[in-house]
Amino acid sequence: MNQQEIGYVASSRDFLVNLDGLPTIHINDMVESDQGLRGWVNSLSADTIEVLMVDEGNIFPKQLFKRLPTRLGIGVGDFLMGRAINSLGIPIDGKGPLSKMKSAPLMELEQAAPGIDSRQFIDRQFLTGITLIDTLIPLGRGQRELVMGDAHSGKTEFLIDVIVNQKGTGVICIYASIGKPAVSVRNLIDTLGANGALEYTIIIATSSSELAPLIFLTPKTAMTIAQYFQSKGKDVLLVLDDMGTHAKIYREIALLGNKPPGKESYPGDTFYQQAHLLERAGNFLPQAGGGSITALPVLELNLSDFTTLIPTNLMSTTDGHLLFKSNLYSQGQRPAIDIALSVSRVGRQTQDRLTNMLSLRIRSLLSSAQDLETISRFSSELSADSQLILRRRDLLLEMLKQDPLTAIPLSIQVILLSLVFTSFLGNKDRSFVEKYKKVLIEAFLKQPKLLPITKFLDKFKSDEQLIRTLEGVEPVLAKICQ
Amino acid sequence: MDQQILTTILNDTFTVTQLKHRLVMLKSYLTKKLFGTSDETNLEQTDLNWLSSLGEAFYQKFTKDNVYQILNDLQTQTNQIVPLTIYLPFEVEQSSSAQIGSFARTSFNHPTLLLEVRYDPTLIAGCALSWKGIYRDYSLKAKIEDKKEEILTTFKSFLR
Repeated sequence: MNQQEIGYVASSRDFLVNLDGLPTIHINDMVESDQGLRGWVNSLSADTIEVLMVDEGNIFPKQLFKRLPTRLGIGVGDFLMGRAINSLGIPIDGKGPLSKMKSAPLMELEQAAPGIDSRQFIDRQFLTGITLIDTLIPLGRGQRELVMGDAHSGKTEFLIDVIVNQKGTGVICIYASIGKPAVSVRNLIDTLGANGALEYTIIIATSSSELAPLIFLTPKTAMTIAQYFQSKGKDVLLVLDDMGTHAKIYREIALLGNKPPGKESYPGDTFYQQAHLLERAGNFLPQAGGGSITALPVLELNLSDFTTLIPTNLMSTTDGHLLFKSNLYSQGQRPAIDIALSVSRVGRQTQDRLTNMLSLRIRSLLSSAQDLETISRFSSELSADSQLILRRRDLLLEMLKQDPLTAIPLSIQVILLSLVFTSFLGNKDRSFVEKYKKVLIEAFLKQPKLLPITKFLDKFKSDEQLIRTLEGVEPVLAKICQ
Repeated sequence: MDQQILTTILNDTFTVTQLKHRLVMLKSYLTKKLFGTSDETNLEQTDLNWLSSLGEAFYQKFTKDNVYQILNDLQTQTNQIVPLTIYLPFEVEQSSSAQIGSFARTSFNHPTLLLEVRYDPTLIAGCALSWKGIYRDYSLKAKIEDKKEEILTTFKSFLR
């Protein structure tokens, strides 16, 4: 005689099924119908079990559901590298089945975030190779930074750049594409593949046409895989693109389950869902694996409005945010980040002293320039000092522009931005920087007279000292830029 | 009083389907008897036999004032009954299900036990039972699965 727990369908609505029976079932246990359709237990009440289906098929009254021995989880291992899977671990890249998935250790998708006793201070910078980020809004390894902005403001472009720039750094990149059209997932795989970034990247993607519960699980699966690699001591970059879709899917599930709608019709525990997930990222102590998870949740905004429920929720669960603007994008600024409205709450502590001082100088310049710009609208004549500040602001913004799929080493970033404060660029305009930026980068990487500055940048005690040194090589620079 | 009525109905009603059918029939019969004008009926003979087997004392409990209340209460009580689901590899007739139901009531010492009979040809022989979310398989299929290795070894010994 064999014995197992079963339940019968009491009612069903779309992908949500209520079952009777299953006396000792728990939340996140898996069940399967007699026709092989799987679901997971989402909530329990005194007389019914709410199951969210992950397989499509017909559900009929009194249909039998068996409890499965496994819980909601995914087989994880190094075999996932370079692959694209859905939220249940099924390959979607056409590269064949993942045979090792069955024998791999199963990690539950739903886990409590590690406590404070397993975390450590974020003290290593996460280098993106993008000047604007690494100098002005630096990220730390283990930080959670929200990437938000309008549609078509270059968010995905920026994220792909960050992933591509991790080549050779040992960072493992995990990209969760949540409910996006299948064609954009295909493009992502192709772009990463063409730039040699796929070998250290794992893509977890569910398309917009899939069942809502499957889409809902995507960031959880991505985070679970990230935790596996973090527990092996690796530094992981996790991109969750985007959490707005995730929130909408959760709203759909909750409304179907008759949960009372709250603000903007989202259920009351939306904040919990997001915070509970993002709390799992961080920088961990050696006894907890030693690695880190740097999480970049993405959020698409409506007309740059970040004062609504989901943006404010996510802003309060992260350690800062990057605000992308479509008007900056259309003006040709790449990345189209609004520097004044973007923050990084823990990144600055990971920067070296020189970059930090330079960053402060730049922020002060940008702030002064903004004030002067307002005044300049009312007065026709500006003093020479004021004109210099405005010109330096323009040069700086030009220096911060970066072509897609390019990485600039941190030392070069610092030198380029310091150049703005030298007399060499004092009387030059934007077009000069645009024309000679690449030449200057090459020179500081190869020119024998300039190379020592790049090589021994960490020996400089202050940005003042660096600017003075750069003033000293002005004749060399002038010759290069002839 | 409702419990007495339900117990009387359950005396020779053994399956959930049969109970539901009989409650509908009883409702139709009682409304016609209490509020109707003609004696015409479209019920089958077996159903009429069952209705008459309930006895005059049973019908005296129903009046024009309480009939709907009692029937509604009966319906509520019926919905709360937890049936014993029995999976059989063959389709059973009503007489057989009565025999099985009677046997189950005696065996489990549960005088009002109701069966929900389901057809599952994959069981091959024997039966499987399900009660309050626990499924126990006593069928030949389960036996074969238990002794799968043993059976395969025996078969292999006949291979040349």
